Amino acid sequence: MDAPLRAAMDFPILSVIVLLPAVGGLMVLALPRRRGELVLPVALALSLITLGAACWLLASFETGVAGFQFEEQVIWYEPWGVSYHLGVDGISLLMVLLTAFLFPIALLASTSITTRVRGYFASMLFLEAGILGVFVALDLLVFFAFWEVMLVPMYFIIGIWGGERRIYAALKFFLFTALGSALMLAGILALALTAGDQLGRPTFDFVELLGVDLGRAAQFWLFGAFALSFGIKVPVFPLHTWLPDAHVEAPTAGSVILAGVLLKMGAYGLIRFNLTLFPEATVDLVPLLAVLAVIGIIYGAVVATVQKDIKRLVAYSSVSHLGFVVLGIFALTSQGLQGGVIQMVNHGLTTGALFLLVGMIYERRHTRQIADYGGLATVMPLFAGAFLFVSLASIGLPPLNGFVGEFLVLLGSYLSLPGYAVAASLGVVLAAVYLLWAYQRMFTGPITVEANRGLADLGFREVALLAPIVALVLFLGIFPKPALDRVEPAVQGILDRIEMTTDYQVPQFGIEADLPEAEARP
Amino acid sequence: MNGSLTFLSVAPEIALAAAVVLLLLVEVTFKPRAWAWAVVAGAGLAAGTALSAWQWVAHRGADTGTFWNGMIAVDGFAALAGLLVFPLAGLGLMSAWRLAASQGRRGAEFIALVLLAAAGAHLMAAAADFIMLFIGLEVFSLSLYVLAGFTRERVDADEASLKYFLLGAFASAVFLYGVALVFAATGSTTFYGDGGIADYLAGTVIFRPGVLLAGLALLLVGLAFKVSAAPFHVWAPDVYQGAPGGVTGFLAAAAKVAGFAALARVLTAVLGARADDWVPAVAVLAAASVVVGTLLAIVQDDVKRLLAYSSVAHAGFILTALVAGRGGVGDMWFYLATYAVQVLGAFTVAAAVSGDRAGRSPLAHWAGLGRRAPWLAAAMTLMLLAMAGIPLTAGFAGKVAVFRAAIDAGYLWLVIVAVLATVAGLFFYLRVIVAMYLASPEEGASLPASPAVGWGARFVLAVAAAATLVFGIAPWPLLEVLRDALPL
Amino acid sequence: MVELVLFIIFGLAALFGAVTTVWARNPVYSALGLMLTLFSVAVFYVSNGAQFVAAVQVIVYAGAVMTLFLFVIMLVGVDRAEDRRENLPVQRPLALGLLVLFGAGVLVAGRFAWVTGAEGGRGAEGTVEALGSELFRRWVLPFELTALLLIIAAAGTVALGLFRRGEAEGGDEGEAGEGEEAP
Repeated sequence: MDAPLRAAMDFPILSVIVLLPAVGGLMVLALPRRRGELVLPVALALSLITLGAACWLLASFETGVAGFQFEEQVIWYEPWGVSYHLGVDGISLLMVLLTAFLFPIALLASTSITTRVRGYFASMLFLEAGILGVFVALDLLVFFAFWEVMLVPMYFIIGIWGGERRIYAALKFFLFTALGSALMLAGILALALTAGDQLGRPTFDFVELLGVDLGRAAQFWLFGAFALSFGIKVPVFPLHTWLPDAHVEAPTAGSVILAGVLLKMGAYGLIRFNLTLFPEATVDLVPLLAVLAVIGIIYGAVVATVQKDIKRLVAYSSVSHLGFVVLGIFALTSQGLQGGVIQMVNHGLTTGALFLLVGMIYERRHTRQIADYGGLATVMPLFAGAFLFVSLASIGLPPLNGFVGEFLVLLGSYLSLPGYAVAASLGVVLAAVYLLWAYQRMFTGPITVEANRGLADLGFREVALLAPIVALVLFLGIFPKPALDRVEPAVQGILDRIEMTTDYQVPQFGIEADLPEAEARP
Repeated sequence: MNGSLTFLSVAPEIALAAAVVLLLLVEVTFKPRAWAWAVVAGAGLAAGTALSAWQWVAHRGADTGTFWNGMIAVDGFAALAGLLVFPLAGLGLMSAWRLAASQGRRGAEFIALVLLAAAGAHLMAAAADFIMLFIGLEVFSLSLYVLAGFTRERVDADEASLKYFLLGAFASAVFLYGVALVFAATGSTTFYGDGGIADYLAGTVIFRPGVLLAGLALLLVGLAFKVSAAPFHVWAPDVYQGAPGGVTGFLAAAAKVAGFAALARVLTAVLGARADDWVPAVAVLAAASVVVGTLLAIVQDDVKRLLAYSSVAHAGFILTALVAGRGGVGDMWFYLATYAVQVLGAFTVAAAVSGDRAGRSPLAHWAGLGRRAPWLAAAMTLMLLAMAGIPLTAGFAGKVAVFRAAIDAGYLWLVIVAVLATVAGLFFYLRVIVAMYLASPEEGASLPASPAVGWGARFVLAVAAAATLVFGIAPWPLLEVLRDALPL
Repeated sequence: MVELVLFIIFGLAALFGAVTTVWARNPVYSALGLMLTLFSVAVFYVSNGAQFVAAVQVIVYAGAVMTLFLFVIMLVGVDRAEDRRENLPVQRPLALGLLVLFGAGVLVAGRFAWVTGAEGGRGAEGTVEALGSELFRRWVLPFELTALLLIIAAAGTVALGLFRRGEAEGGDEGEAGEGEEAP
C-alpha cells in the first residue's frame, strides 16, 4: 500500500460521511419545538457538509487502482468474526456521491411538508446515513444492519407524509423488503459459519469471504437468498409490485430518494455480493436473470405507456430502466457492468429530476392525472423545457447521460447475450414512446383545462433545485470518462475473479468469444 | 462443604424473604405511607442484586458448587439469573407503582408478592434438585397467580387469575409427573454430584429409555407451559389481557426469565447427555411457537393480546438458542435479558395508555398517540422495533445471536422458519406503529384520559430504551460477559 | 398370606367406593364412597410399610379434603337431585373408546420391560422417624422454603379477600405517587 492511501486511512473519512447525516438527524430532533424555521437550514447544512466530504473523497480517490480504498476496520467481536469494516471502490464511490448529491436537493424540495417537520427532516437524514452505510460497509453483518435500519425512516416517510393510500403503500414497501432481507440474513449467517468451517473461525468480513470456497450447491442457495433480497429492491420483474405504490404515495422527496438511490442499493448488492461471492452460481444463472431483466425492460415500458397518472408512469419507467442495469450486470462483460453502474447513476439523476418535476406540478394543481393537463408549455415554458430535457436524457438521447449507460449496456450484453440485447433495445424505443407521448399530452397544443391557465412557471428555488441535476446530466453525457475511469478497475476485478474461479471467459471485442458454449453451459 | 458459603448460597432469597416479612410487619404495625414500602422493597431487591453480583464475581466459572446436600447450585448461571431477576423486579415495581399505591392498604401485599415472585424465580434458576426446582416454581407461580387477579373490580381479572391458576397448576402437575418418571429412570432427583442425574446419565448406557424419555417429555411440557411456548401457550393471551395493566409487564418478563432459566439448566446441564433426544423436540417447539405466535398475533385487535402472542413467538426464538445446547446458553441469556426489558417497557406504555388497572387495550386507544404523548409513542416504537428485530436495537443482536447458534448446531431449517416469522411479525408490530403515528383517533371515540405517566414508569422506560439501544449498537461486551453464565 | 387377604378385601372396598362415587345419585353418598376408597388405599400404604404416607392420606385426604367436599355439598344443597341429561351425546361412546385404547396401551406397555432405570429408591423405611430425619437433614432447605409458600398463601388470601369495591382510589390520582415525591 502506498503512502497517500496510508495517509488517507488515518482519517476515518467514511465513518464521518456516514455519521454526519445521523448527527444532523439528532440535531434536528434536539431543536426546540418553537424554532421550526431552523429545521430546514440545519438539515440542509448537514447534508451539504456530507456532500462536501463526499467530494473530498472523490478528490482523494486513487483512480485506476483496483480494490478498496479508505478502508477502516475495527474488530467488534472476535468469536463471531464481526468487524466494523468500511471501504470504497469505484462502484461504491459513485453511489456515495449520488446519494450525497441527491439528498440536499431532496431536502430543499421538501418545503411543502408542514406537519411534524422535525420528524420528517430527521427521518430523511437518518435515511441518508443508512443508505451511505449500505454503500460503504464491507462487513456483511454491518451491511445488513444498515440495509435493514434504513427501512424504518423510509417507512415513516411514506407512511406519515405520503399520499392517500400511504399506509398501505408503506406497509407493502416494508414487508416486501423485509421478506427479502430476512432470507438474506439467514444466508449471511450460513455464509459466515461455512467460512468458519474452512478458516477455523467464522467471519462476516467481505474481503476474507472472497477467499472461501463455498462449493457449488451452497453457492446456489446463497445466491438465491441474496438475489431475492436485492431483486426485490431493484426491482427485478416479478418482484416489482411494491414499487409503483410506494413511489406514487411517497412525498416528492421520498420518491426522489426511492428512485434515485434506494433502488440502486439492490443493483449495488447484486454486483458487490452476488457476482463476487457466488461466481459459479452467477455464471449458471445468467440466462434466468437476463430473461427477467428483459421482461422487466419491456413490461415496465409497456405498462408505463398506458398509465394515466404521470407519477405512476415515471415509477414504471424505473422498472424498465433498472432492467437495463440488471441486464448490464449479468452480461458479465466489462462494458455491460460499467454501463450498468453508469446507468444506475444516470437513472438516479434523471428519474430523481422527473419526480421533482412531477412534484412541482402536483403542488400547483394537486392532481397527477395526465388528462388534467395540456398545453402547459405556453404558461410554463421553463418547466416544459426542463421536463423535455430530462425526458430526453431518460430516453437515452446523445449527448445526454442516459445514452452513455444504455449504449454501454447494450454493447456489453450484445457481446455475451446478443438475443437479449436486441430485445432490450426495444425498451429504448418504448421509452421514447411513453415519455414523449406524455410530454405531448401534457405540454403541447392549446390549454385544455381552464385551471391550468394561471399556473406560475418555475420559481427561483425550483430552478436552483434542477440546475445542478441538469448540469450533471450534460456533463456525464458529454464527458463520462471520469466516472468510467473509476468504475473500470473495480469492474475488471470482479470479472477477473469470475474468470479465475469458474471456466467462464469474458468475451471481448476483437476476440472471437465462444458465445454458444458460454450460453449452453448447464 | 464450605460452611460459610452454605448460607451465602441462598443469601439472595434470605434477603428477599426478610424484606417481605419486614414489609408485612411494618405495614400491620405502623400503617406507614407508601414510600416506606418502597424503601423496604428497594432495600431487599438491592441486597439480592448485590449478593448475586458477589456470587457472580466470586463463583463464575471457577469455584462453583452445590450446597444444602445438592439442593442449590452456586455458579455463573444462578448468579446471572439473580442479576437479571432482581433488577427486573425493581423495574416491575416502579412500573406498577401507581397501581400498587392506588390499592390502599393492600399495596403492601402487592409488593410482598412481587418480591416473593422474584425470590421464586431465582430459586428456579439456582435449584440443583428437582424438588427444589419444583418449590421455586410454585413460589414463583403462586405469587403471579395472585398478582394477575389483584384488582378484582373487573370480572376478567378474576377470570385471568383463575385461568392462570388452573392451567398453571396443571402444568406444575405435569412437571411433577415428569420429575417422578425421571426419578424412576435414574434413581435421583438431584442434578449434580455422585449419583446425581447428570452423573448417572453420563456414565450409564440406558438400553430401554422409555421411562426416561417420557419423563423428559413431561418436564419439557411443564416448563413450556411456563414460558408459553406453543402449543402450550393458550393461557398467555387471556392472562396478559385480563391482568391489571400495571403488573402485566412484570408478569410477562419474569415468567420468561424464570421459565427459561429452569429449562436451560435442566436441558443443557442435567440432561445434557441425552441431547440427541431433546434437541429435536426443542426445535419443533421453537418452530411451532414462532409460527403460531406470529400468525395469531397478526389477527389481534388488542395490543396486550398482540404482545401476548408475540411473546409466544419470542419464546420460540429463545428456544432456538437452546437447540445449540450448552453453546447456546449465552445467546439465550442475551435474548432473554433484552427481551425481558423490552416487554416490560412495552407493557408499561400499555398501562399508561389504557390505564393501570384496565385489562383491555384495544388498538383504538392507541390511535394518534404520537401526537397526544410523543415520548410514550417513541418509547413504544423503539420497543416494538426491537421486538421486530430491526438493527441497532438489542432485538436484532439477540436474533442474530440465537440464529447463529442454531445454524451452528445444524438447524438451518429452523432459522429459515424463524426469519420468515420475523418478517410476518413486522406486520403486527407495524400495525401498532401505524395506529400511533398514522391513524387519527376516531371521532367521538371515548379514549382513556390522557396518559399519565408516573416517575417510576418514566424511569423504567428510560432504562428500557437505553438498554435496547446500547445493547443494540454494541452488544459485544454483554455477549462476552454472558458466555460465562453457564450452568455448573 | 395375611397381606393377600387384606389386599383382596380392601381392593374390593376401594373399587366399591370408586364406583359409588361415580354412580350414587345423592352427592353425600358419593363423598362417602370416595372416603371409603381413600381409606382403603391408606391400608395398602401401611401394608407396604409406608406408614407416613398412610397417615398423610388419612389426615389430609380422608380428613381435611373430604370435610371440605362435604361443606361444599351442604352449601350447594343436598336435596337438589342431579340432572343426568347429557349435553354432549358423543361423550359416552368417546369415553368408552378412550378406555379401550388406554387398556390396550397398558397391555402393550406391559409386554415390554421398559423400566431399566437405576436401582430402586432409597430404603424402604417409610417410617415417621426416617422421614423426619430425612426432612430435617437432607431436605431441610426445601422444607424451610415451603414457608415462603405459606407466606404467599397468607398474603394472597388477605389481599384478595380484603378487596372492597370502591376502597381502591379511582386510578389516575394515585395518592402517594412515587416514593420520592411523597411528603
